[in-house]
Amino acid sequence: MDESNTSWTLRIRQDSDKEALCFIRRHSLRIGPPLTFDSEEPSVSALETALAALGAETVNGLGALARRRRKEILALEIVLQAQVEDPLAALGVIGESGSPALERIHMRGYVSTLHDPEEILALWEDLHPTLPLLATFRRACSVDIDWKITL
Amino acid sequence: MSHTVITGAVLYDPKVSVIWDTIARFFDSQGVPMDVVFYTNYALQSKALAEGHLDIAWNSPLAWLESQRLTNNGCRAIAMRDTDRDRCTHFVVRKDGPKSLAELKGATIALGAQDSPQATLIPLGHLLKNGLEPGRDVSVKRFDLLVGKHGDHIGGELEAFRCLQKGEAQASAMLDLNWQTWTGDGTFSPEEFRILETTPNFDHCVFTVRDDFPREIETKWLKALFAMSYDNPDHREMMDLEGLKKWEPGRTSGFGPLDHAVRSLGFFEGDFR
Repeated sequence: MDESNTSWTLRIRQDSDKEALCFIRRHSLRIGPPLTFDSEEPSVSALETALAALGAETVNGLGALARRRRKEILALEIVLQAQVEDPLAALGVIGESGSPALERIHMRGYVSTLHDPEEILALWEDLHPTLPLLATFRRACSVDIDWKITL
Repeated sequence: MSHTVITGAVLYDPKVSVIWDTIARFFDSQGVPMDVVFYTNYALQSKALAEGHLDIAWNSPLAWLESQRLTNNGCRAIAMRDTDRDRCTHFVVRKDGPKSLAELKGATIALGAQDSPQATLIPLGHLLKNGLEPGRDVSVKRFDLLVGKHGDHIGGELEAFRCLQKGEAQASAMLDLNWQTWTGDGTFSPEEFRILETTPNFDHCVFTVRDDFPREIETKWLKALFAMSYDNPDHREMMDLEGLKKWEPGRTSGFGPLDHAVRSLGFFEGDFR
C-alpha cells in the first residue's frame, strides 16, 4: 500500500506565545495552550480540540451512516466530559508524580428520530469499530457512551 | 529584554492556577513580566528559593521559617495580604463543653494537618505555653490531609471540627476566618459551639525573596503589586479570588507564635510526627 495515500501531513507553527496555527490541507486552525482550567481562556486548548474531534467523529460518522441506510435523524448532539489522571501534573506542578493522561471520557449522545431506538443503536454498533479516534482513545483510557434516543 | 520575575506558588487545586495566570497577566500589563512556577509542596518551593531557582516565593508562614532556616536568615518578607495580618486560631468546643483551657486536661483535641500552622502547630504551641503537654495532658487526634501544603487546604481543619461535632473530641482548632465563614454559611451553628480560647495574633502568607534579589526589580514588582486597587473593578475580581482588599508591606513580627511552636515541638528537627 502506498503510504503517501494513507497518511496525513499537517503543519503546526507557533503563531504567538499562546497559540499554534495548524495548516491542514487548504484549511487552518488555531489552537491554544495544552490544556486550561480557565473558563475565560480566549483560545481552545489542544486537549479540548482533541476531545472535540472525538465528539465530531462520532456525530458526523453516525450522521453519514444514517443517511446511507436511509434513516432520518432530526437532530444529533453529543455532550462529552473528560478527566485527566492528575490535573496538577498536567499543569507542570513540580513534585507531582501522577500522569497527565486522559483517564476517562464519557459521552452522552442525544438523537431525535422517528425511527425505533433499536435501529439507531444498530447503526452505532456497526459504526463504532470503524472510528479511528474512538479506537485510539479506547486503547488509552476508558471511553463510554450512552445514547438517549427520543422523538 | 526585561527581567521576568519567576514566582513560586504551591498548588493544591488546578483552579488556583487560574488566579495566578490572572495575576501574571496583571504584572505583564504593568510592564513587570512575571512567570509562575507551581510546586506540589512548600518543602520543594523553599528549596528552590534557597537555591536561587525562584525570585519570589509565595510562602506559607511555615515556609517562611523554612526559607529562613535554609538560607541562614537570608530572606526578606516583602509583601502580604491585609488578610494575612493579625490572624488567630480559636479553640472551639461544644456549648456545654469545657469552660477553660485547664479543663481540657485529659480531653481529646482534634487538629488539622501535621504541618498546618493555624490548625495544628500554633494551637499546640499555645497548649504548651499554658502547661498542657500534647500526648501527656491532652490527647491529639490529627487530620493529616494534604501534608506538605501547610494547611492551605482547609480539609484537615474541617475534618477536625467534624470530629468535635461527632463527639469524638472535646475541642478543635480553627482559623478565625474559618470560624467566621463556617458559622456564616451554615456549616455549623454558633448556637451549638463556642470559642473556648483564642491564640495570640499571628501573620500568615508572605511573598519572600532572598537577600540578593535585586532591589530595583523588587521595587518595580512591589510598585505593580501595590497598584492593585480594590476600587478598580478590573482588579477587584482578582483580589477577591486571592482573598484580600489591599496588599501590605511584608513584616516578620507576626511569625513569633509559629516560631515558638516549631521550636518547642522540634518540627524542623523531625521530632514532630
